[in-house]
Amino acid sequence: MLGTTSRDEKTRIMKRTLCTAGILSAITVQTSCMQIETVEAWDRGYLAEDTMQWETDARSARLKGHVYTSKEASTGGAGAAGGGCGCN
Amino acid sequence: MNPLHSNSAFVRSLTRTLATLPAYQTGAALADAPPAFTEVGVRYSHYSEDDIDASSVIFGATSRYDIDITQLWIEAPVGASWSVALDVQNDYQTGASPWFVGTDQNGQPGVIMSGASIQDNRVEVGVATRYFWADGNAGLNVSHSDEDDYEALSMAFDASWNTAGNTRTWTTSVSNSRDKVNPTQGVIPVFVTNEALDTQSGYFGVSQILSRTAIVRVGLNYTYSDGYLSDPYKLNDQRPQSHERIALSTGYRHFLIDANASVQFDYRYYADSWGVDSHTVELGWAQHFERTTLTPYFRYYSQREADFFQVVADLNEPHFADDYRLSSYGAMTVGARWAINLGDWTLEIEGERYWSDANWGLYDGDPAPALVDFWRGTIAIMWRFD
Amino acid sequence: MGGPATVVITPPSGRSAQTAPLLDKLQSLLRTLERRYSRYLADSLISTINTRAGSGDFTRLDLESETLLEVADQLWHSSGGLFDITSGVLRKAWRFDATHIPVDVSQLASLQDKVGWEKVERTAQGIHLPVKGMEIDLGGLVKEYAADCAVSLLRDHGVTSGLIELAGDVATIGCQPSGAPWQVGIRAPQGGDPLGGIALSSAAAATSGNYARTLRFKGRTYGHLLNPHTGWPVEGPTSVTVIGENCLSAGAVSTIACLQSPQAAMTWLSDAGLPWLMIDREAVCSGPLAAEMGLSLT
Repeated sequence: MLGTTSRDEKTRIMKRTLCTAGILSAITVQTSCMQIETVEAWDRGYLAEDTMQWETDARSARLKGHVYTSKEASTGGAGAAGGGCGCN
Repeated sequence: MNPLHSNSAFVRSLTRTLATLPAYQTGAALADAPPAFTEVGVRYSHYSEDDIDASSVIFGATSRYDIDITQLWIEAPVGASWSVALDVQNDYQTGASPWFVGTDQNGQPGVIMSGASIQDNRVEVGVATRYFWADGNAGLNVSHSDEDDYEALSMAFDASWNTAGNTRTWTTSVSNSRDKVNPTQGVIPVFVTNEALDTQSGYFGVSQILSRTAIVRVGLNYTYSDGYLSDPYKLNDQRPQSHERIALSTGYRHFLIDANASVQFDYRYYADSWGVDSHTVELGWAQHFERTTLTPYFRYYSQREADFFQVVADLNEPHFADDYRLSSYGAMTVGARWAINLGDWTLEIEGERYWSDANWGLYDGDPAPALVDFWRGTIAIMWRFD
Repeated sequence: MGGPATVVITPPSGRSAQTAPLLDKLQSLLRTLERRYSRYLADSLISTINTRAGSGDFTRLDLESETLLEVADQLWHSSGGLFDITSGVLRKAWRFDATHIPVDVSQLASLQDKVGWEKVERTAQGIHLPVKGMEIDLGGLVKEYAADCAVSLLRDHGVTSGLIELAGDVATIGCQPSGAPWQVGIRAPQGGDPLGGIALSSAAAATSGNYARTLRFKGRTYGHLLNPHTGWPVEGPTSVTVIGENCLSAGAVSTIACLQSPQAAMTWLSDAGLPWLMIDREAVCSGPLAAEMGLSLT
């Protein structure tokens, strides 16, 4: 990678990484300041609802992600990229 | 299914009321545990792209891709701390796609479509195992994907653990994929054989419970690919040999007790070393009924074109591509998911419609003539048993 | 709570010396619950609430009582008002401890004014019964709650195999020491040999019924469960047994079943989604448990 990346690209990657780190820090700080109420272990009924999970169904989410990844230029989200395919 | 786990609204709301009393709080509920049942499922999806506008086509058919996707899986607990899963997926794809973009007699860009319809079948098999302990779980996943012109072997490892009295969950994952491209000489002329590419990816994120009805998460994903990254079925496509990508994502879920519904929000910012930037926003409203849940959802997407994208490729540049998927555009999806609980069985029906348009995006750029609209319908049946 | 109790536990390994103190703790737990919720004890919480009926004085509630009343409220909603903890005063018009004494039907009319959960006032200040003479009775719910509390206490002390029975309701922890599930017999309404057995492992079985106390009046046999709307005993199934994760949930389902006609009870029970057994007034057995127990369904 280091050999083939142009100087412009490197600068842009650097700028983007710093920008990302900035956004991430901002979110982290904001999240820590957010009102976090104590929720007892036995009061997690609502949080346990299937519609409150990050993905209602892992396989369904994978399918959706697969469709969008092959039709758009973006990848990634809330997990590491999975297997490859010749999706065109 | 555990016969004592009633799904009736009566028993569920009674359980919720009793949850405030110590007598009904079991320590076991705090520990991470494998699923209590075995699940077998099948999901079938049909994906269909709209015909391309005849006015955008210089030569070739106007019909585009149709894909049938079938997923089969079985996931079962093993002992007290493990689970295993086997997934098989088959994609059957037919249709034509843009071969390259040229200019017509008026100097307007137009698409030359691939000659005739392709027929491609891909099979992917994956095995996964997961280990659970009191404060977290970790999983390993290996999968192999095979089709006439493409083969991929991937491995992924993930782990998550709870802290702060189980109100915070940290997640990390890494994955690796080795792909081999061997384009088939057929309907579309190709000029490469036996290429390979490698992809490594890592993710780190944290999720925090905010209240008894709200949870938020944020995460960062980094992916690096190198090797042959161009599209062999596009005549004018020469992409860099490396590709670095980051995605920053955040999500929020809130349960509205009075409405008996959940609000779902997700946002992702993406940027890569090819000059592409994008924003994705997803909103869903999951409405609970007696035995079913209906979730209408909306997605907005906007991307900026890659540095080397041109509507009509400039072959003098070191890198070039006319692939509409690297152009600037915006897209919207409207869809709904309906899940029906039938005791041990669950039925899910989902449908969505996707429209893309160069004018809907947040970024400027020349519009690609081959932007796609599609619809997707899915039906799934799952069976859970002890 | 006015009923017999049986406790069987296998002491956690290496801690058999702790069995006696553990049983003491259990007894003291049950006594505490009785002191708090019994309507027969003058200084119990329930009696305090009942004495203050019509006075305008609210009674403050702690988390436990508040939750149990919330459960009573949910049961009232889900049963269409048939489960009503204020309906106990109607028994004054009926005599269930003797036969041949006619019911004082004229008394029913005046007692009806004192019945109705919808009339009960519940605010942040607590609970208040607006009509003098109104009474609430948590007896049924507390009995099942007590069994669940007992299970929780035993579990906290490391017991992984045990069974507790309180006046017909059974809650189990784990399996028998041999590894086989606990076998619980379902008694026949008319007495005699048990009808059959059900296997329980970390589950609870609650039985509701109209068989324990009956009354003969004008040639018909009535159980002791009263319909709050009419004031008359319910013409419901003879007995219903439900298995659930805990006694209170199972008991809620079985009690509401017994307040309806056998036909309506069957629909209620199959909707509730828990294993059940119903014995109707003709001694006909139905429900998924009946098949499991090998009972003939005719």
